[in-house]
Amino acid sequence: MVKPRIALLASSIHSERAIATLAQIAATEDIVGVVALRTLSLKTLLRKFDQLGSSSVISIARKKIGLSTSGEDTWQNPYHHRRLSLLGLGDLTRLDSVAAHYGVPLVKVKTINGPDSLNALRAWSPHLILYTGGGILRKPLLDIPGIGVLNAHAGELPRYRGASVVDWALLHGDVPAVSLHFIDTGIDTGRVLEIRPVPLRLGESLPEYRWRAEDATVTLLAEGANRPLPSMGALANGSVQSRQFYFIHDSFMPHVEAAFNQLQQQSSKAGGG
Amino acid sequence: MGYTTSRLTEELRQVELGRLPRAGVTAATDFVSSLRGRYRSTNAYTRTRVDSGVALSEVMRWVVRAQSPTGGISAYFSLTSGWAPDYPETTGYLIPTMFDYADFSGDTRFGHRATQAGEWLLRLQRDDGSFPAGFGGSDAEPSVFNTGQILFGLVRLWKETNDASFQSATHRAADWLLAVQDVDGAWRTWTYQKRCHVYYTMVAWALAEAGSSLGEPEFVDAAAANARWAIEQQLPNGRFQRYQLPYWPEFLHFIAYTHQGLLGTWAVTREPALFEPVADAAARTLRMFEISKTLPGALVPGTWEAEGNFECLTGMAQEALVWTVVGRELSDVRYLNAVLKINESIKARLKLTGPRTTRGAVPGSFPIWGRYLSMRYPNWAAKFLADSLMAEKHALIDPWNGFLPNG
Repeated sequence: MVKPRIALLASSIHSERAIATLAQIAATEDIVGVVALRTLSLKTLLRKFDQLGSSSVISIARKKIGLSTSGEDTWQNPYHHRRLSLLGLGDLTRLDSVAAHYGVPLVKVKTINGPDSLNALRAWSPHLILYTGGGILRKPLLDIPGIGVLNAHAGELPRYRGASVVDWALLHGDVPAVSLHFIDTGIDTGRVLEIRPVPLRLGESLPEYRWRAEDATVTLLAEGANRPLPSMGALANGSVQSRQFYFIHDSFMPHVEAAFNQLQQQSSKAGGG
Repeated sequence: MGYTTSRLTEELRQVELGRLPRAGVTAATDFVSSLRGRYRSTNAYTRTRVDSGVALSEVMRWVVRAQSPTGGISAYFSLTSGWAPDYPETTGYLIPTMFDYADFSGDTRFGHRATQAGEWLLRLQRDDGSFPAGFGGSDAEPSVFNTGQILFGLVRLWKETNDASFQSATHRAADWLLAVQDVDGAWRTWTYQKRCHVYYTMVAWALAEAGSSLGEPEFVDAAAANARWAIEQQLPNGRFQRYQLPYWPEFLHFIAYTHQGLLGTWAVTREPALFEPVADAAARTLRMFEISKTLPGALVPGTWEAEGNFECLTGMAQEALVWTVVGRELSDVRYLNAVLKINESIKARLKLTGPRTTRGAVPGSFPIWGRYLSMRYPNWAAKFLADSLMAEKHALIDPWNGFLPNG
């Protein structure tokens, strides 16, 4: 069977999700290139300061440029770090390092839909593109791969489109799930290939669960890259519509936490977790 | 409110920013904030930076400072000309807010202040039951819109005090509104510019409340007639037409008035046909807010495109109130989420320290020199923000009371 030529999209060379995904597939799949957004635009920097606060941004920056003393401290998501360690790549903490390790070309661009990105992707001529971040994709990019652009969304589709979907699912009393789907011009509206629940485990905190759910998207996306080529082609053109969720206000957090604890207990009684 | 625009325009002509240091400092700090706002974070308003209870308390303290010994409440504080005269229209609909805050906070003095405001209004009521336009001078004409907004206060005063004078005033005002209403449900006599306006659904809502309280179905029917007329003005894209404001853009304040008035009338009549158009519009404003992290201060007529580059904070608070009702009715917690976030963005524009004249006051626009009530802190902005913060607090005490399917 012919392996599909695969390209990867990333929000930055520091994206842990992108690093973990590339590390997971680079040894076994035909990765033709990576497109990553440039990290330090003024807009991104101001957004991060506003989002995380100055002390958090400085702390993360210190880790990313190697001023922290412990390798594990560099990572926000411990599951991603563990994945790389298991793959023997525990010392690599940047996407360009992983790409270089496997001889995969990496292009840094200003915008994911811009000419630099499109030119690189067209030159590589991928059958499939894996999306790990970088913003909303426009039609010119979506039209490049012969099969489509795959994403692993951290929520059950079509019920939980958008943002903060793990928390929204918990609030509604649902066990969160991750979904493998094609990207179309809508927000999380492309055809769904697989939905995989992320069971709750007793004794696990909510932040730990969120990290594990995010890591589950890496597993699902990596497996998606390894699916047989013909079946993916047949499923590439579809879309669904449902309501979209948005970033959750922190006033809901006590209620999300309570719902999480309740689901954990239920899951434990049912023999899960 | 339309009657006062010519007077407000005159004031604007007198503005000379450089002569007044406070106006300059305020404008400068707003300029810096607005620059930062251009790089608005995805998560900017998901975190609680100012406690809503603290903000609410300061806003209501400002309302107290704006109230005269006579009971009337100053229309606004202007950075360039100081306190405006007492304003009957918005004093009227601040009354329910003051009673609500008395219940919320346990501070019964607000109930007394609401009653004082009502007694001041009774002295302004004309023999035919109407209330005057503008600031209510001796030569003022009667005003449909102002009578409607004052009617909110009268209805609540009667409920709270059981005082027959408020009941009588309510009935007389409602009778007059009925008498001057056209057959198709619109009002065109004693209206701003002698035209019909879709945002007069706020009058319909007040009339519906009066009818419900008095047990007079004809008032409710008249309100429903206006609401149906307003729905006929809705375009396929969810926007309404017939605002008919020749000197002003379609400010979010008036757009939200239309939504509120329809929703309030629906709440009394429970006619589904009155809810669905508002739900459609609310879904669009929700999405617009979540994508842009703000709502435009004004929209190009017939479209959802922004006109100008400013925020109308009054309108944002009003639309939050619309979302509260729509979200609960649809069991859609995303609306409550948006209420919390839009309230955060408004709270971020408040000054909770500093001079008594602006501490706790809500600017008409952000930046403060924006087109809506430029350089001023209107009392109705305080009213709607207070209402929205109280609605938020009530919703979070029991958030799943309607906002979740099984709540």
